Amino acid sequence: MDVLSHDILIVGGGGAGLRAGIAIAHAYPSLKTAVISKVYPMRSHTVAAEGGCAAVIKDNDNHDLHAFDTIKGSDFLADQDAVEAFVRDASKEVIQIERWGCPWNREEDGHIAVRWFGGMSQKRTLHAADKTGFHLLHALFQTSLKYDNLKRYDEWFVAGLLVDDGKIGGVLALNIRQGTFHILAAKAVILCTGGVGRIYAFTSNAGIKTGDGAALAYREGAPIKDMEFIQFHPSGLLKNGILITEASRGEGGYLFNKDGKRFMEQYAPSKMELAPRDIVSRSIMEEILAGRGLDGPYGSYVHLDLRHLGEAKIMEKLPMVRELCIDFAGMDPVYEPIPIRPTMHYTMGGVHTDKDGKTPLAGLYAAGEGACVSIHGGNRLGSNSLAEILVFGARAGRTAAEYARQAKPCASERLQSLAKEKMDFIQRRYIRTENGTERVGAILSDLRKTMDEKVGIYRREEGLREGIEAIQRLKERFNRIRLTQQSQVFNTELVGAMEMDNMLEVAHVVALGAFNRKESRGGHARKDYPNRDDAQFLHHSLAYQTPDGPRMEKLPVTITKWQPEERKY
Amino acid sequence: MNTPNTSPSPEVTRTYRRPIPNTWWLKQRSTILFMIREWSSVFVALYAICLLGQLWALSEGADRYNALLARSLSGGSLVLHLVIGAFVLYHMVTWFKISGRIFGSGPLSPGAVTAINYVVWIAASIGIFYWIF
Amino acid sequence: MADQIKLTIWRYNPDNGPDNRPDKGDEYRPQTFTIPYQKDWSILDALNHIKAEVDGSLSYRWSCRMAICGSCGMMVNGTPRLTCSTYLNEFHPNEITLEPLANFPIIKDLVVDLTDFMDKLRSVKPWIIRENKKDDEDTSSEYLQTPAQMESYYQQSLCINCTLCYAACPAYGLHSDFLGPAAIALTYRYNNDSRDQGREDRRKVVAAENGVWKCPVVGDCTEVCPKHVDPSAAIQRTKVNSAVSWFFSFLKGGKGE
Ligand SMILES: Cc1cc2nc3c(=O)[nH]c(=O)nc-3n(C[C@H](O)[C@H](O)[C@H](O)COP(=O)(O)OP(=O)(O)OC[C@H]3O[C@@H](n4cnc5c(N)ncnc54)[C@H](O)[C@@H]3O)c2cc1C
Ligand code: SF4
Ligand code: FES
Repeated sequence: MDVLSHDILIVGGGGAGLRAGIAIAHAYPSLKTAVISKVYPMRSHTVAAEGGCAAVIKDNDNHDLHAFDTIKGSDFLADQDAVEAFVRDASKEVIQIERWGCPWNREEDGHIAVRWFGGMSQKRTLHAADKTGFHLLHALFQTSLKYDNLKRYDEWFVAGLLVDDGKIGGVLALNIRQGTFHILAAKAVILCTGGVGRIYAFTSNAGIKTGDGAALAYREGAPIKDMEFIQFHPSGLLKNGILITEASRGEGGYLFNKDGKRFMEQYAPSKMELAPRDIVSRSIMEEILAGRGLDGPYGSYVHLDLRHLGEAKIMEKLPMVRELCIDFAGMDPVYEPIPIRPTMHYTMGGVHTDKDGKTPLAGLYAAGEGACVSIHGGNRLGSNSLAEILVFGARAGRTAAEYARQAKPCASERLQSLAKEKMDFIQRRYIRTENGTERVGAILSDLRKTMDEKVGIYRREEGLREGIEAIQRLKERFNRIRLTQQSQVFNTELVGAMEMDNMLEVAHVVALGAFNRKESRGGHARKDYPNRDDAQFLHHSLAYQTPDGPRMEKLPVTITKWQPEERKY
Repeated sequence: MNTPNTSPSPEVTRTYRRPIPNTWWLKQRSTILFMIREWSSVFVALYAICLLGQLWALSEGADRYNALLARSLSGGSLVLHLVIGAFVLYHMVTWFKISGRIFGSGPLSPGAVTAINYVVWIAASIGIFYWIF
Repeated sequence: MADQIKLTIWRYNPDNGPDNRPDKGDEYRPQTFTIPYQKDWSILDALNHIKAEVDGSLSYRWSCRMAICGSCGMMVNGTPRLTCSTYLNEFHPNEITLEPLANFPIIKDLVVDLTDFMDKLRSVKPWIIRENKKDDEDTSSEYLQTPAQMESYYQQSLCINCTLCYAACPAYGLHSDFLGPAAIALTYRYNNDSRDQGREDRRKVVAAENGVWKCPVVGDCTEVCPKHVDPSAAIQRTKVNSAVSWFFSFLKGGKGE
């Protein structure tokens, strides 16, 4: 197999990956750096982020306030040293991206404007209309084009990490267009692969969010952290969960039940619709479970009403919300309330890293939604994630560069033999499947149904047990898959099978983590253990792969100056 | 072109380029209208030649010019002029529309720009009318 | 019998697979699928259904399914559209024909080769260019830009790179050297950004032989653009700008380059 050599490989061309790439290409021009992405970088799911990006940039705000909001939002599971670093860097990063062309909305005098967002005690969310992620990603992508020394492998799929004696040596990747596998050697690899939303059916996430990075690291013995924490966003558009941004509430939208009552009065009287997402989502579910939701062909829902904002404000601040409603629900929010229900939205967990993006595996780094530092703990505040991908993308990039400068490359023969092992496995498992019977599509839809039903917003012991068993059966079935495509060129069926394998691996950890955590915290809500239990569970969960499934370990939370307190809004 | 940062494709896979038939423009209304517009340029040019011819005849004296005028009133020539006139009008109308698209931004909407074009055209025509008579 | 709908998909497969089966050869051919009709399905939902349940070998691109990533463009009954936001109910009970985006070489089935487009995007230097290179490292404060200044380029910054405009552009179909609508719109976006000082750098590309002057003003790019970027206006305005600046440099006694 031919070997393409590099100093640093970045897996993922979303916000985190591109930010890392630029950080390295700019400050370390002599390093050979490349970004590998299974889709063209500007197709990455960062493009879908709508509402905004949080950072302290105004005089009436300060870093401690942002840090405390984030920590309280996390239900005190965030590592406070990481959060402090995060809020400080975020202020610089949002200006940096402005200087790279991001069209942030402005005040009349030309300064950047900020808006309200859930769980934030100040207006501090920068935004580019309600297409913030789109503008941010395109600004990063276009800026990355400036660097001749930043190579790209577009539409290449990373199928495995090559690890020699506890140290990264490169990756094995499929050139999707040609259908050929290649060894991409590197001294350091940064995983920026995004979350795992596709394991749920009702989700705001794209088809490419299949948790590849978590699975890649996990298979090589690096732990993945806090996977049981899944964020459900209050406003998923009926029928398939497309996101209606929180900015619609930030700009003043109301939530109503079927009796026309603003039910948030009851659950979060001080913050109302702008309470953190986990709380608003559960409030909506409570209304629906109590029979106060509206009913339609796609199940029960509540109303998000923007009509009182008026057409002008909607067009100025929320044009995409209107576009999405018209295109995907056939209704216009200027004249009608939007039918919504909570949708799976964000993966708080991911590859375990420290605050510089380093994982326990030498040479392996991670950043973005696919990593878990953790600054989001049990629940991410809206608009903290775009800030996170900038901050930790850059940090991981710099750390990896420093490492790569002094590290030795893995010997070529060694890489060849590692790759051959992986190739044999891939051949056996995904390609030579003539005797198989199972369709990947059927396994996927069963997994998504299982996750929605058993590992959803509310979790219970029996449900989780059933969920874990179901996932184990799906894993069994996956051993007998059959692919129909013979041609190598642009074989999306092969890619889909490898993604499916990753999703099963990660879903298992999500369900087991949820089973083990017998408390309710942030996005993890157990009906049978409705309270937070700091005495037993103020810790992160680390999962290691073993032949018999995940092995779970505990990791203490770092607390600097904010002691856990009751979380009320 | 400088493309160091796209993926290296040692042996590029065989792609297929669909042939474009000569009748490609017949498939869509917009391209048919576009072709008519392209052809209308020929008529604009023809009309310019007619004008030049008339000017030349005028410079040669009244007899020459009257002879040309007499020939111009024949049936065939009238039809030709009508056709030319129609195409020139079409060319003008579409150009006014396009110029609206180009210059219409900010406070000046595309419609406004097109309207201004028409106003200027009508004003100019009236001006010429008075100048001649 | 439940309601059904017919989708005719044009397919192409450049390699015959490991068994070298001639019937899987490389001809470009239509294949018709009859599937259950769901009135709330997008065309992309229908394709995902076919891929999962009927024929796993079908290749196409998609990701966000919310009309923002720009992956899923195809010719739908001859017109370039985003298939995630085009619904079956617009066509039912008639059939739907899907082809890969026109004017691009086909890699496989509905997947086209975007290499040329990606090169063109890069060739117009779509990033903020400053005379003082250190400017973009200064994170102590933002560049000021009023909402009115932002307005002058914002529309052209909305391009999602879906390349529908290239599929609609006859000039690109006939001369693939043409820079094309989205790339020129992107030039316009940066040239009109008050923070940018790179207009001169980009002029060499947009005013060159394969730049704006190759555009014959058909206007279909603007018609098909799902994000109302209006690339046609951007092209025509760029023509005016470059003609004006050519004229002035000519007056100044330059070569009128
Ligand atoms: C609808 C929606 C709205 C959101 N709105 C907001 C918001 O308003 N504010 C906010 O802060 N956050 C928001 N978020 C969250 C935020 O957008 C994401 O968390 C963030 O963009 C993730 O960025 P990333 O770079 O980590 O991953 P992504 O952008 O998902 O990129 C992942 C990259 O990895 C690549 N990749 C993955 N696997 C492989 C593989 N095996 N081989 C090669 N490449 C691979 C992909 O091609 C892709 O380039 C929103 C999320 C969604 C879904
Ligand atoms: S200009 Fe419009 S049609 Fe062309 S690529 Fe951009 S968004 Fe697509
Ligand atoms: S799937 Fe992203 S634009 Fe259609």
